[in-house]
Amino acid sequence: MALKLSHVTKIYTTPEGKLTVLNDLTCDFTQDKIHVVLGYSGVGKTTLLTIIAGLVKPTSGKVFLDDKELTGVSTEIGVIFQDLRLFPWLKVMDNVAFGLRLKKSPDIKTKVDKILTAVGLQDFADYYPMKLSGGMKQRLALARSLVLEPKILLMDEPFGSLDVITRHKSHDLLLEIRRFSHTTVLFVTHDIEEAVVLGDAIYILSGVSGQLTKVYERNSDGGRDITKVKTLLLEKLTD
Amino acid sequence: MTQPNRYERYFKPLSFVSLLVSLLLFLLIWLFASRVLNIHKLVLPDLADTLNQVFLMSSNKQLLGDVTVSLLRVIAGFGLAVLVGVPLGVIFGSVRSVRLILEPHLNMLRFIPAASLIPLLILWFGVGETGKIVLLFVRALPYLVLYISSAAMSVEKDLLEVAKVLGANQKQLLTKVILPRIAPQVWDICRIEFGSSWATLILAEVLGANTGLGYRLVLAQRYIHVPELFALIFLSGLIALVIDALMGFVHRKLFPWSEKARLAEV
Repeated sequence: MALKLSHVTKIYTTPEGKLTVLNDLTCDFTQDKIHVVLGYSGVGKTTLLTIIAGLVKPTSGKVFLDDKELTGVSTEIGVIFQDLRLFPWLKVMDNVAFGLRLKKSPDIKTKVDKILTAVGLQDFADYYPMKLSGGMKQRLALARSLVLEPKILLMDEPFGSLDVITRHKSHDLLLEIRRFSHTTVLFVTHDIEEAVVLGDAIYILSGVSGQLTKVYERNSDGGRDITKVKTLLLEKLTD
Repeated sequence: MTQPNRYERYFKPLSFVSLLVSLLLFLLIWLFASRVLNIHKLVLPDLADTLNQVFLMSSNKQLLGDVTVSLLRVIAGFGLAVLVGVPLGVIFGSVRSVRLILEPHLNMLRFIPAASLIPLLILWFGVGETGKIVLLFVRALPYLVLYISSAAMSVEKDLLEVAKVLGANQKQLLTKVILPRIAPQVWDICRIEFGSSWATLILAEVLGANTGLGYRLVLAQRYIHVPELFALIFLSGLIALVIDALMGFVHRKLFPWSEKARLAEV
């Protein structure tokens, strides 16, 4: 499923006056790809995701999922937040089953077992989130979203608080999961390296203009020159 | 297991040994005050006389009956307040219009001393059970509702957002997120309010009853039996303390994910 933004603008009213965070964004995020939005902290990356998720209304503009306009929260869109937001009172398996139970899905146990195995948490199904490490919590958040088989997965700097090794493992896991899930991913980060490793397409969100610009798209053969892409992104970010 | 930090050490539940040491220290001070400082027995009875009285009371079936009556009263009155107060508190904390209408009344009720209601309740219901149950209900309800609504309002917006994204509707947010999230706090609020209800009941029994622990206090006072008075006061505190400790234990079993349970483990 493809995601489309049409003239999306978000203006916040602050005591100091009006603050334009997103300015007339129009963009197509094509199906089955990892789209990475890169930008400095505070440029409005999270605002963009919360608008797509239906949690915040844009000041103007529309969001479409294929040709259907999104006017609120949709179960076809999964979100992994920066702070993960796990339910502390639910065990790992119940956190994963939360959304399935809400929509009274059949075969909940099978689905939960399958996704926990995919993210390597099958031996921790009976644990409470507080007993998990940072990397495991992050995998749990991923499992909780993916088990609902969302058409679009929004990821808001989910690996930001992880150490380098765990972060690399998480990148590998995301890329591996992508191979069998066909979910379109919109991944927000301020880390150039992360953008290069994960992105099929990379966009820069400018804090000055509030515009979103596509700066890189991976070749059809899937290859990329990492150093070259990093240099390109650095140039574009400092423009 | 990592070493507990300063915060964790401070809030860790007290161990049985520390409670025992604290109790022994208290008894030593009592012994010193009654034996060495020679405080008049009407003011402070001898520790041995009082402990002897406690021993005698423990085999007294009539007292056991009075304690049972008091416990049943507090369970009925406070239990009713919990049954009404918990759901009302959650609705209060989640539905603004309900809060706007009822909050001033509950706030006013909160500031009315329980003792001031006793004459009216005796007039309405006599010295029987109904008046006491109503008193406990009326005293506990506003506190329960206001504290629980405050807990419901403090549920992280982030958790509500993620539940919405996972497909929760308004009713499910209430039952699947708000209620389980605040359950440990609700339990603790009930635990604290139970203590207050117990104290209120003893007061009500002192002022108008012909059974119950409070009534026994009146009898002991009438016959100027100070060791028995002290023993009964001690017993009323002990009963509340035991129930409180039990509720604390149950808290850790019911909510193993809560901060309190975690602190008990470190």
